[in-house]
Amino acid sequence: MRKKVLIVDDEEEILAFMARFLKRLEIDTATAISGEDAIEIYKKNSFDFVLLDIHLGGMNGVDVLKILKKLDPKVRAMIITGNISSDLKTDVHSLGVVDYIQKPIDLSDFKEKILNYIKQ
Amino acid sequence: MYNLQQILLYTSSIAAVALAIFIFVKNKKNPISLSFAALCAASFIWLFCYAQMITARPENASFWLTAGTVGMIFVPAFSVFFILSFIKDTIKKTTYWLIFAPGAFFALSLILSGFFVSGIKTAEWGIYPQNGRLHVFFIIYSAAVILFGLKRILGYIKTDDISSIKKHKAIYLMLTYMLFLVLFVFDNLFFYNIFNFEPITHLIILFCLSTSALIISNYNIANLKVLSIKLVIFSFMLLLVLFITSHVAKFSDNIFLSNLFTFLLTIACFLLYKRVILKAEDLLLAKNKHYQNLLLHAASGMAQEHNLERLLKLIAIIVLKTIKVNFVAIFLENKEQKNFEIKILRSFSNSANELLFSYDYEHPFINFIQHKENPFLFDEIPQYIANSVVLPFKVALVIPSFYEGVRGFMVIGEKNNKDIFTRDDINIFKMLARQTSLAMGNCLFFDEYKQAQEKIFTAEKLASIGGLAEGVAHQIRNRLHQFSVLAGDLKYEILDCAKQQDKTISENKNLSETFAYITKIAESLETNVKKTNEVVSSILNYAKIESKQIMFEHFKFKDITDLSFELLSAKHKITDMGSLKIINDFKDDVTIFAIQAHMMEIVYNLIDNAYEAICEKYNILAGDSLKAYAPQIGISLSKKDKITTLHISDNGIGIKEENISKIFVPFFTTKSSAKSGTGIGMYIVKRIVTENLKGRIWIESTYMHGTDIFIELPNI
Repeated sequence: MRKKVLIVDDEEEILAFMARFLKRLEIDTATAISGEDAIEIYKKNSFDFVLLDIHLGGMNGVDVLKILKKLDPKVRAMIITGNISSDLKTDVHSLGVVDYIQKPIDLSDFKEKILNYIKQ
Repeated sequence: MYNLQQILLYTSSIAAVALAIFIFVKNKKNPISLSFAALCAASFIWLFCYAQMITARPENASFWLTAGTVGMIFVPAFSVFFILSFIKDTIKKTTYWLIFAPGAFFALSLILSGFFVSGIKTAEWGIYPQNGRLHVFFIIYSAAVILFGLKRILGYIKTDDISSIKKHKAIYLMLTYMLFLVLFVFDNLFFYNIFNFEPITHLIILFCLSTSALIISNYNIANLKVLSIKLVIFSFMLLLVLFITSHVAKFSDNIFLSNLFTFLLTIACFLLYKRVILKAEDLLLAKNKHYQNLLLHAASGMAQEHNLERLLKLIAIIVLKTIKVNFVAIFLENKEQKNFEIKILRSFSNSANELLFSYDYEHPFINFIQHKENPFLFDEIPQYIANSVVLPFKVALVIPSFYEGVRGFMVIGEKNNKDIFTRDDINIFKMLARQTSLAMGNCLFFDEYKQAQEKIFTAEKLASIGGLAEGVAHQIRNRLHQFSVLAGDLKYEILDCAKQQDKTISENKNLSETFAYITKIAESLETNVKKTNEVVSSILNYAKIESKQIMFEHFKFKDITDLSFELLSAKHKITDMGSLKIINDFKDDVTIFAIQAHMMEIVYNLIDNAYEAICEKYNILAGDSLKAYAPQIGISLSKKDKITTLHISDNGIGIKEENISKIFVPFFTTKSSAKSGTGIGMYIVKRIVTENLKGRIWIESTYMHGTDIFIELPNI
């Protein structure tokens, strides 16, 4: 069975690319352009993994994560961040993300990680 | 009724003794004191015995007469002896004989026969000697001997290398003894029956003794001019009073009235004396007062100047032009070099205005200045210190400037008109020095204030840049992210297409080449994004370091090194080499007290460089040497005397000698562009070490052998 990933990012091009990238890896995707969208979509579908950009227009990525956790305590997510500072690290770790990746992403690194996490 | 003569003679004799004792006590070691004492002794005998003689009964008079005249006979000899001692003339044995032998002869002729003094005569005012046949020869001998002394002193004055002060002293002495010559000869004429009035010319010897005492006791010579005028006027007034009162007393029977008259006359003369003195001073010192006023005026304007260099130049020029001296030099303390170096030099003739000169803290001249808080004449310094001061001009006056210790001093040459510096001058300079100290303190405060302001401004700028950098970095990273994603997209599209159209492409050579090339471009785009990101990261880190709150804390050094190696292996994925040996030469539990972020930055950068150096060497070596290569990185930390030394070494490729000095230049890198790195790492490390941690860093390296980096940090 193919795995399903929810991608949340406020840039359309990124969403499109990520979706195609994951498709090549034989992973199905759904995309959300904002935090609210993401929550709506998550409610209606089930996902194996969530890819979340921290910087979203409107609702903050961290808040989205909190809400998703409430909806599904077992949710597994990886955040994409532009600037990892030490407090952000502790903040999101305490929220239970499996990993984070920094912009600009290293595609081979990303590929490795996502394949690794999606298997579990 | 008193005898004027007697009183004068008694007071003079006592004064002579007092002077001798005074000089002797002050300058015990000086041989001049002895010759002066001898002169005073002879004078005392002369004056005291004559005092006794004047009012003695005729039968007792001859004893006092003989004794006193013997004293008088030796006075010229001893005065010449004194003069010669003063000018430090080497007195030959024959000179001694020529001066003293005739004196002895005359003395003997006086004692043993009547050829010198034929008897006594009784004048109106008392008993006095009557001349004998030899007496006239005595007069000639006295004149000759004193003239000889004067000739010698004239020769001394004409020599070139005596200081102004010595010259002036010698001139005063010469004038004094010229007067002495005239009046002494005149005095001896009283032996004959020429005059009817009382001989008061004995006082000349007292005048000579007083002036001589002043000259040799280093009393500030400048006042001598004024002082001698004061003395002359005073003596004149005194004599006038005494003369008038004694004659008035003679003619009036009323004691009360005559005493009252004396009293009133004394007061009148006293007031008149004061007036005359002031007038005389004004006339004499008019020139001095003029420039002193100018200096005072200028001094008050000094506080307006805030630039130290300009202030010093101003002072130098003012002093040079108003007092018209030969040169002015200003020395300032240089705390870093621990010396006083010449800052300003202005000379009247405009020669050698650029002169590099300095005196260390330990130089004897500097030591001397530290003890003297007030301006002093160069002549007042002990000889050995004066000899150690080597300046191209002759120094007359030194003025130290105090502002919490000696901060500097001004050195002034002689006045162009060869005048000497008077006591008033020195007082004015004292005031000038005080003003200068305040003005200098002002300037230094302004300097510090400006520096502090600049620092604040820089810090503010950096803080805003730090904030700005974060924002910019974030934006750039977002764009780079796009780049990266799009480049990745491109690459995969091409790969997909290539896979799908495999057959078509492999049949067409051009097409396959084009596809290979496009794929390469896409990959290159990815790599370049990564590199750009690294540049952004370095700058961002640097900006962060500057603007963050600085917190010192204790932490284990091992934590830093462990973390650095972790980052290193993450960055380079250390798998592509043989075993890298890491030597930790420090105790596991050793702690340091510093800013963790700084130390992290330093250690990580250095270890990263070491690793990359090893990689480069690895790439160059081949065959046996490659097999034999045992790469290692060593880290050592040692603490000694409040200085901690960090030493990181590697046996990598090393640095070429011509590049060693460039290592710390920002964006200089010898690593090939294919490798990571931006060249800003070492620059950041150096700045952290020198500016934030106040330490020092240096490199020793041999190309193809390895590199050692040393960092010395105080107080961690």
